[in-house]
Amino acid sequence: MDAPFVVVAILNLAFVLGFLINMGGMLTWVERKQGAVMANRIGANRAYIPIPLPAKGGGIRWYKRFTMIGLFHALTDGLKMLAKEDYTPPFVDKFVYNIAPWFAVVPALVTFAVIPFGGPFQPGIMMSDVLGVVGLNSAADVIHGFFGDTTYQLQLANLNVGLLFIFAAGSTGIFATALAGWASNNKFSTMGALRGASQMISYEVFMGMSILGLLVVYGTVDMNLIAQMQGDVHFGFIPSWGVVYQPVMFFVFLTALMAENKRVPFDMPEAESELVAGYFTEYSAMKMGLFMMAEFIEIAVISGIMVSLFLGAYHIPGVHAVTDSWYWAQHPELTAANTFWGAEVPHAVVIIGRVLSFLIKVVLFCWLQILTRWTLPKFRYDQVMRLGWKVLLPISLVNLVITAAVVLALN
Amino acid sequence: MDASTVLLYLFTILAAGGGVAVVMQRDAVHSAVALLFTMLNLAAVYALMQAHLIAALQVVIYGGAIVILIVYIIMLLDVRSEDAVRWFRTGWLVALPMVLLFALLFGRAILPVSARASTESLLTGDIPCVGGAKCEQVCDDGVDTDGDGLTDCKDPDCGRHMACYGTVESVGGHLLGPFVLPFEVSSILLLAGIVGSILLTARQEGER
Repeated sequence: MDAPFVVVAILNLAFVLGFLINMGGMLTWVERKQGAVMANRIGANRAYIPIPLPAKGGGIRWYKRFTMIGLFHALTDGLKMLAKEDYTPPFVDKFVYNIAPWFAVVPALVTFAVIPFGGPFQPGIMMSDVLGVVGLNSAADVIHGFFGDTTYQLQLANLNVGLLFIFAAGSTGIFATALAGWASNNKFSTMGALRGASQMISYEVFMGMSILGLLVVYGTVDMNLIAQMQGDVHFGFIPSWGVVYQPVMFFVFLTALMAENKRVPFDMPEAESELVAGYFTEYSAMKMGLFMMAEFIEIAVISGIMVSLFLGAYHIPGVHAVTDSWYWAQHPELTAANTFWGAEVPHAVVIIGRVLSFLIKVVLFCWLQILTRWTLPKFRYDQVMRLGWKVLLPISLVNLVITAAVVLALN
Repeated sequence: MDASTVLLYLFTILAAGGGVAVVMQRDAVHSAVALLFTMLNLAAVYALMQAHLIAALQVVIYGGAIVILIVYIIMLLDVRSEDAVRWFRTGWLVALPMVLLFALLFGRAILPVSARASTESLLTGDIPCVGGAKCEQVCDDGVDTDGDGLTDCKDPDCGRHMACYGTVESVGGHLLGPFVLPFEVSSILLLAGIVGSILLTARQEGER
């Protein structure tokens, strides 16, 4: 392991963790604000930071309108969670009660490790592009000398098992629900945990089934390669994104992921109208906050998974980086370059554009999920199960057979 | 000893410790958590041994599916811990000789294999073909060298190459290549298990 590799890895880690934690915080506000706007209310807009101003007759006047359209609500929410009394009921199983929230947060955070958010890039060339524009040519030379022309990944862990890692992390997330409910030693919690475990196990099954068709198309589970394969354009204008190959599975997989996240309309394990708060009824302060944080981080993670599998990952149609080894191998008649619909552009422009395009797609998906949460009414428990086993599973099986037949015929 | 060997020993010891905790806990759910701990450590051991696919499947199947079903069933059955404690007072007299016998048999079966495995290392260059037969000689060039329709890691010939060992392509190529018959037989066995359990638990006609 050489020094540039470690530097890139640390920067990747900082980006992923910073992105997820901030999204977790931001989405608590987006959830309330978007819900309010959809219900024709004003919504979360009260939290402010007081700013001292000189008053007319001397002394200090506190300016209380610095609310940033309510963005500070996310901050105050976190402070509230930390400052509240962390009460552990006497009847709980202490050990399991304390480890359960971590089973919610850790899988949500580690899942993002295999998601490519910018593709392969050359940090040396990219940084000297950026610094060259600013005019710091000597600094650009130093950084270029440090990184060289080597290609690195804008992805935390480039694993061969890629997609399976996501499933592995997702399946350990079920323990949070099951263990929290059991440890709380409360009828509501146990009820919520039983519902949660059976719902998540069921949806895990056809989550895997629904993605098999896409794996048949791509022929790999490597997330980096799947992302690169979506960088082509068919017939000059149709991007080779997953949603083009598997339009039905796009919706089935999204449904399965949202059911895994246990939010309305799939919030049977919580069901505040029946079970108080379901499996985390007995949790307070930051322990309850961890469950909530995991839920919101998972919205961003779900968006990341959907974008990298179905919506072309970081790709902008028609834009290619010199580092897209798969694309240039597919088109041996072209010479590798950083291009925007044929015109040559600096490497930094392509890479920064790609990271922005990934972030915009993820944010759009978060918006879609919150839109769904405030639009659809809650399912009944048997309806959730029927939708899973009797509708979505057969659809994904039929889709798999058809996809396999088509791929076999085309080969 | 390099860092990965130290980690390998660490995770092995943790896995064994988790295994001991499974049988020593009084409470069934605590045992299940210890079992999960063992499974995750085993996955780490597999990952350190370059078997990334097996590591991921270990977490998905054993960690995610089997242990969660155990927890689920414990919750449904409401297992009391006292029954287990009563058994523990005399049960270890039976358990200890059984454990020793098992360790002996298992060690006898495993040690020769592991001794052989430690002398064989992964290949890096071209694959030597046995007996002059055609085989996939270069495993990382994207070309189907022997013309059998399987490129690079997907060809079982490349199983022990550095670039292929333990990858999804290599394990998949083996499962659907030389080992396709055992693979399909085991899937039929699993299907028989599912059908059998449905038959045993389904209500008969007219039964309430």
